[in-house]
Parts: sequence; structure tokens; C-alpha cells
Amino acid sequence: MKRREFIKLSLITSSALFLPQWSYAKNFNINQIDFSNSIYNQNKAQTLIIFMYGGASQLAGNLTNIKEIKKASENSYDYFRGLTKTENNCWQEAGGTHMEELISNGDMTIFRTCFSQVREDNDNKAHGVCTAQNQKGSFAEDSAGIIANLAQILASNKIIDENTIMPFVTLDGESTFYTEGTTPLAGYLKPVGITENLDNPYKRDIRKWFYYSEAERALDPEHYSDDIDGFDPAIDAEMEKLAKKNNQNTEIKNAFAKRASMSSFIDNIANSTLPDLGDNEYPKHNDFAKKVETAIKVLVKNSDTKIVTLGTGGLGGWDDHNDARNYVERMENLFKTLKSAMAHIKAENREENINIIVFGEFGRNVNLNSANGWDHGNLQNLYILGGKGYFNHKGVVGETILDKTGQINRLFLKPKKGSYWFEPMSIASTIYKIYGIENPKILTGGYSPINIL
Amino acid sequence: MIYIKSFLLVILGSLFIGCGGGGTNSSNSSLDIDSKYSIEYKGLKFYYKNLPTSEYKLTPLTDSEFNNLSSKNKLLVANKLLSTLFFGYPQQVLNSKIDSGSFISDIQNELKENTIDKEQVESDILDSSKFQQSTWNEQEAVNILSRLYVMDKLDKYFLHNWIAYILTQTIMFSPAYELDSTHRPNITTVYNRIVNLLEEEGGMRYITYVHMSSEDNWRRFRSPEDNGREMLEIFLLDQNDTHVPIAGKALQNWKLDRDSDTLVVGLNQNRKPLKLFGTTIYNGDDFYRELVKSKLFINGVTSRLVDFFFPNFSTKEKNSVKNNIISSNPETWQDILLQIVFSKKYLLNNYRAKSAEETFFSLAKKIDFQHRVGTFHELKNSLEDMHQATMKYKLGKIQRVPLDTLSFINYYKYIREKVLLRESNPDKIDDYEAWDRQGWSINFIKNDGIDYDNKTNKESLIAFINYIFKTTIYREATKEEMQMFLNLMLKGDSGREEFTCCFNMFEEDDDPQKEIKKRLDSKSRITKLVLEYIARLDDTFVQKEVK
Repeated sequence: MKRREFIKLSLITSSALFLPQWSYAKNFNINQIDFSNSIYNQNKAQTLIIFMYGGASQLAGNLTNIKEIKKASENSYDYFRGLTKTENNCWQEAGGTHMEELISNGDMTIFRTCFSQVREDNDNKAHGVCTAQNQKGSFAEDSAGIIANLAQILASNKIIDENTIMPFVTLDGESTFYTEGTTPLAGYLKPVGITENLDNPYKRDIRKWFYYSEAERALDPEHYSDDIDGFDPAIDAEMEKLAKKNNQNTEIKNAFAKRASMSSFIDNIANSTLPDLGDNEYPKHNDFAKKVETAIKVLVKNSDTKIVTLGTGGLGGWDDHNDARNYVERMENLFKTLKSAMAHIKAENREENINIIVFGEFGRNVNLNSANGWDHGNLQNLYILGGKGYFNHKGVVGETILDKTGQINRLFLKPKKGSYWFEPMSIASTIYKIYGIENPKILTGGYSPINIL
Repeated sequence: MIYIKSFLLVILGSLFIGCGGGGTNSSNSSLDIDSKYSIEYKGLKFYYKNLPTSEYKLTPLTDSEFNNLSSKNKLLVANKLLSTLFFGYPQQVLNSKIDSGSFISDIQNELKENTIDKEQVESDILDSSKFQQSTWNEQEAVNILSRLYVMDKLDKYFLHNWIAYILTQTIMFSPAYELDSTHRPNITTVYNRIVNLLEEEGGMRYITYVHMSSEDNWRRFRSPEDNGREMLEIFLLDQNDTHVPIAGKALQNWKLDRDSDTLVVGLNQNRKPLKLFGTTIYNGDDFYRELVKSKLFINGVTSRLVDFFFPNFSTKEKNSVKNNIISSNPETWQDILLQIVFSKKYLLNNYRAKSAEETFFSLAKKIDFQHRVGTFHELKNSLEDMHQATMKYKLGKIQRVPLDTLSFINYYKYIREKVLLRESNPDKIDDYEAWDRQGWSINFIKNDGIDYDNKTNKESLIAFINYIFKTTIYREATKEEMQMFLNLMLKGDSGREEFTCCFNMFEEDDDPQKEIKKRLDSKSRITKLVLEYIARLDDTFVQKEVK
């Protein structure tokens, strides 16, 4: 009965309205970007970004402080019926076994200290603002989204042009990743949407016989009773041309312009086959797994696609304020799917180029509250997989401590003194870097790429 | 004394309405009408009269200003107003209303009267022979869509339903049926509570207070800290994290029990004073009540609605609209919503994508759209494909009309394939199960109001094509557009054009019945071709500004 799609990407897009006064980045000027063609060509990076809307708890990938947490928590962690630590202090029942496998294969790094001092200082843990900031890779209200910036830069360096096929693809609608800045995005740089089942709403059918001119009818009378196939009649082309000329709304114009090519793009991907993944096949009957499978197929089959974005619709959202027990299953499914995705990438010999980046707007408070859930926090894990041609995976990075504020329901994990940590904006900086941008700090308001990779 | 009486009313009101009942429908039978407006509970007034238009500070468009617009702009503004309200009139009716000279005030007056036969409407939408009733696919939401279609007049009941519909699309009142913890009846209870309280002249602070305290709201935001945080952020735009633990403390005894997701308010309430909203609060009731009484409340809810209706205005422009509305001291949802909808800013200067409901319901009235049993289940599903799902999202429709490629193409596909290219078969008018009952009816092309006598074939065709354009996208075809159709549908020398074979609107037959049918068939073909083109125009999908 229920659809656990949770928060759509599109819900967050207008949240920038509520951004606080503080602002760090400046408007970016394309001429200030140092772009390296050789890094771009060497990496040939392609990325799947999975955004965990709602703010996922970091505990699945970090049980280091669980003893202290259990002692200080309002409700008992026995509620979870299984809280076993793995070798690297991951939560075995919550995807930990798969995490360990990915780590031991050198396929993944877990960063445990993605923390925002800026938000700490500004008392902000609101979904909308934090999502917008993380997807823009900037605290500045007027910044464009990470992918919108990247699109402009790749286009200005002639990496992408009008002939590039679907450079940016979304399986969850448009998000702040694609928010335009002061320079509007050309139509070919805007993301295109597909569904996990590769439904093809872009196909335009129902062509009645009377759409054709008399001359056309005289040429091939048999076709005029065929409602579905027919052929592109002159009137159809003329209508298309005239509508294109008359339409003013850029988004609608863009959607119509891409309709026909999207239709064949989807058919091509839908007809492509999945390699044998052995024991690592994608989980069955799981919309999220299907989305990831489709996303990897797109990246593998179409090297023009640079980035695919998706949320975790199909698994559920991560805003676990209550009854957090099913978080465990969600994490298990997430990492089982990610393991399959890595196997898929490897089976296609693309692990050097294709990477997967998993993060959200924030992590969570670690007090298990009276409703057996976790409220908002300010430290999250970042999971980076693949991209082995340019990422040197380190397994686990970062150490945390438990900050007991003394207030009820206010137990937070924070970076341990001396431990490596970074603001969420560094995620954007890292993405920019692997695509050949040598001075990404200019786009993130001073935040460097994650230098430990 | 009045406090005690009022408090009981709040509690009783919450219980009745929260359970999905209709509350009271007769007008405050036990209350003296004048004293009704002074009832309050700890400073929270329950009832308010709507502001008269004369007190709107966001300047409304007047009849004389409307009358001074060009014919083209009158048509555009009239349709913008009506489609915003999910309504429309057939072209002939609309023309006469525009020509009356009092179009704007007539609409305003219609919205004050009770003219709809509510009993008939409510019984119609539950008639399973006409409107499919299912235990799946959130029938409650489908009923609400069906009601908006069935209501055939603009009146007070229509307005209250429209207001409830708009509010339940926003982050403020979305029933959020996508969540595991919400249940289908929450759609009905949230929506009906708003309609019922509007019928009783409930103020927006009171309506919000009742909503926030309800199980429906707790099924959406489910822990004391979560609920407190979100109410502060949603209604006051307060994102200060230091306020969250205070709200959590005040709500410490509120809990959504896992057994049937039941809201339980325990007796272990906080008894120590807490400072919030510039006052002292202790418990959840204090928190919700003082929140709606807060100075920030009107600012917060007005901002939410201004964002909803003016998505493309700059922050500066939005602030100006918002501040004008706030300066009129609105106390009812109508004060804000009608102030927006009838304003010059909205009707003349605002450009935005049209929601699928605005497009569908207005078109339906204009083209005499006939439904079949499953039409509104299909509409609900299609809204999901367009990412415009009604009442589904936890945070409402923050972006009312997503125009990314996939969302828009689904929107286009629905309007093209399910509305514009579907002609209702007149022989199936009594068969609601029939697939070909759905579509625009023959009345749409029959009642074009065009006098074809003394017109050449070309003049007749031009008049008919322009009729279709004006009905659907409020403008005539451009020269180039018209030529495209004329080239296809006419042949022969200038001044003596004849129709190409299948478009002859004036085909003759010895049998008068056959002749009528043949002519209508030709008009139908012309119509579908023209609508095929119109579906490809952004005019179909946007609320335009007046240039």
C-alpha cells in the first residue's frame, strides 16, 4: 500500500529561500577556473551520486563510540535486536558485512568525519538548507548546483557540446545539484530524467490517418490506418518546428527538444544486457536496486554521460525520528546493492573510471529518543566507491568522539581532536577535482578536496 | 467563563474533526452569531470574518481596470483567474461574462454565495457506477479530485474546497500519504477538517492549531523534537536549532504509539517554565497555541503561499507581495489566498507553470470533458508520474510544477493523450465503463457560436480554428500557425478554396442526419489536429503575464 519514496529531490529545490545570512562563496567566473584537459582525459571520470534524503544515521558505518552512546542514551539500544561490530567497527546487521567486503577489496572508503563547524556555529540542522548547501557545494545562497557548475565548465572547455548524448541524467527529478546560477544553462547541459524501469513516456504515439496530407496518403494508403507506427508525416514535422519557434518557456522548450532523442536513448539502454554478476546479482524486487542497476547501465553504455543522480526512493527515507529499527534493513539493502553495483562496474571493466558517491544533508543525533528514533545531527559518513584510476581507497578514515551536551536528547558525534575531518563542501570540491578542475576552492568558498584519497 | 467554554469547544472540535467526522455543519446553532467572533482560548480566537476586498493591501484588479484591457488580455486574465481556481467556462459563456463589464466583481460575489447542491455533489462522487470506488490507490484523494470536477459552479463551497486543496498541497498541511506511518484516512481528515472549519469561519491560527495538535500531523512528524522543529520551521520559518530542545521538552509527553500509529498524550508533561515565542510555555498545548499566536506566524504562512503562487518572482518582489498582504492583517486563509489571486500583481505580472490541476479542471469545463469510471484514478496516478502528486509528499509540493524533462513529458503526455486527443463517444454517454466515454464532448465543437452563413470555406475554417485556440490557450492562431492548417485542410484557388477530403465542415448528404454527422466528423478531425498542435505549445502549460 505504501510508497516509501520519501522526500523527492524536487522538494528541496526552492529551499534556498530560507538560507541564513552567512555566505562564503562568491559568484563564480568561468575565466577563473583552471581546467586540466590531461587530468580530465586521464581520469575519464563518470559518477553516480546517491543522495540520502532525510539525513542518514552514521552508525551503520561507525560503531566506534557505541559503548558510551548506549550508556548515555535515553532509550536502550537493545531495541535494535542486533548491534554487532565488524572488524572495522561497522554495524554488521546494517550493511556492515558488505562494507567490510568492499573495504577489503579496496573498492570503498568510509569517511566518518564529514562535519560542519559552520552549521554548528550557526545553530542550523534544517533539512532544506543543509540539502541545498550540500548539493550546491557551497554555503553561498546564490551559488549554482554542483552539476550545473560542472556542466558550464566542461562545456566551456569543449568537453561537452550539443552533440554529447545525455551528459547528466537523473532518476529522481531535478534537484539543487542542477540549480542554475547567474549564467543560465544551455538546454543540452540540463539533466534528463529516466525511470528505473526505463519506461518511455517520451515516445509519442497515436498518429491518426488524418494527420497526413493527401499527397502522403496517396503515396502509402496502407499506413494511414496504423495508429501507432506510421511514419513521421510532414505535418508532424511542421507542427514541431512551429511549436519550437513559438515556445518561450526554456524548460518546456528543452523537454520537447529532447523528447525524440530521449525516446531512442531509453530504448537503447533498455535493450542492453546485464553481465553475469554471479553471487553479487542485484537484490530482486527492489526499486532502489533497479535504479542503481539502470544508472550503472547508463554510465557503462554511454560514455557521454558524466553524472547520474538518484535518491534512495525504493529503500525509503532516512529521517528516522522514530521507530528506527527499519534503518538497519535499509542500510543492509543499500550496501548489498552497492556491492552489486561494484561487481557490475568491474564486470564491465570500468572500475578505473566509474565512481559512486553516497552522502546526505547531515547525519543524526545518536540519542535513541523516546520514539526510538534519532533526531538531526551534524556529522555524517561519506562513502566513496570505485573510481580506482584516481581514488586511492583507504578503507576507513576519521575518528569520532561522543559529545554529551547535558541537554536531554542532545548526544552528538563529533570529530576527535587531531582526526582528519572536512566540511560537506569538500565533497563538491572532490567531484570538481576528478573532472579536471584544479582550483575547485573557488567554487566551494574555500573548501578543498578531500586530500586523503 | 468564556475560556472554559471555548476550551471545551477546541477539544470537542478536535475530537470530532480529527476522527474524520464532519464536525458541525449547521452554523453554530448554539452560538449567538455576534458573540462567535469573540470566542477565544487563552488568547487564541477561533472565528474571523473574511476581509472585504476593499481592505486588501495587495492591490486588487478592479472591474474598470479589467474592462480597459485589450480583448486579448481580457481573455487571458479571465482564464488565468478561473484556471487558478480550477475552473473554466465554455467560450460562449465566458465571452458574455467578460462583456458584462463586471467580470471581476461577479466572480468575487459568486464565491460568497452558496449555490452548489452539496448533497448532490457528495452523492455523485460516491456513486460507484460513475466514479470508481477502490480500496487501493488512495481513494480518499481520488474523491477529492472527483469533487473538484463535479462541482459545476463557483461558490462558497467550491472556494472552501479549493482553499483546502491548495493548503494540503503545501508543506503546511500535506497529509503525506507516502509515509509508512500515515494512513489513507488521514487524507480525508486533514482535508475535511479544513473545509469544515472554513465553513464555520474558522481563523487560520485556529485551523493550524487544531491541525498541529492532531494525530494526522503526528503521523507526519513523529518525535517531540522532530514535530517541534518542523512546526517552528514550517509555520514560523524559524530554523534556530536552539529552539528545538525547548519545543521537544514542551512536547515530551506526546508520542505516536506504534499500535495503529496512535497519538498518545501522556500525563508526564513538562511542568517547568520554558521561554519561547517571547512568553512562557509548559506543555504541548502551550507550544502549539503560542506558536500560532506568535507574530512570526502570519509572516510564515504568507511566505509559504506567496512562494507557492509566485515561484518565479525575485526575493525582493516576493517580499513586497508578502508585506502588502501582511499589512492588511489577514486572519483567514481566504484573506491571503483571494488577496493573491485577485491582485494585479498576480493577474497581470505573474508568470509561472500551470499546475496539472489548473490545466485539467479548467480545460474540462471549457471543452465539456466527459469522464469514465476510472478517470480520476488515472488522473491521480498521472499526477504522481508528473511529480505533482496530490497530498503525497512529506514536505508538500515545494516545487509546485517540476519541469524537468521526465516530469514535464509525463504532464504533456497526460494532457495530450487523455484530454485533448480524446473525443467522447456520444453513443456511450450513459456507459461510464466505456473507454470511449472519456474525452471532450461533441458540444465543444457544436456550440462554437460561429455564424457560418455568408462565410467562405476559408473564413469558416479560420473562425473555427481560432475558436479552438481561444478556448484552450486564450489566443488566436498566429498567421503562420493558421497557414499550416489551411495548407493541409484547404485546396484550390484563392477565394474559391475547397476542403480537402476529410475536413469538409459543410459536407452535404441527402439524409439530413447523415449530413450533420459528416459535418461533425470533419470538425472533429480538424479539432484533433489543432489540439495535437496546441498540446505542443507552452501556452497550454503556463499562466502568462500580461504584456
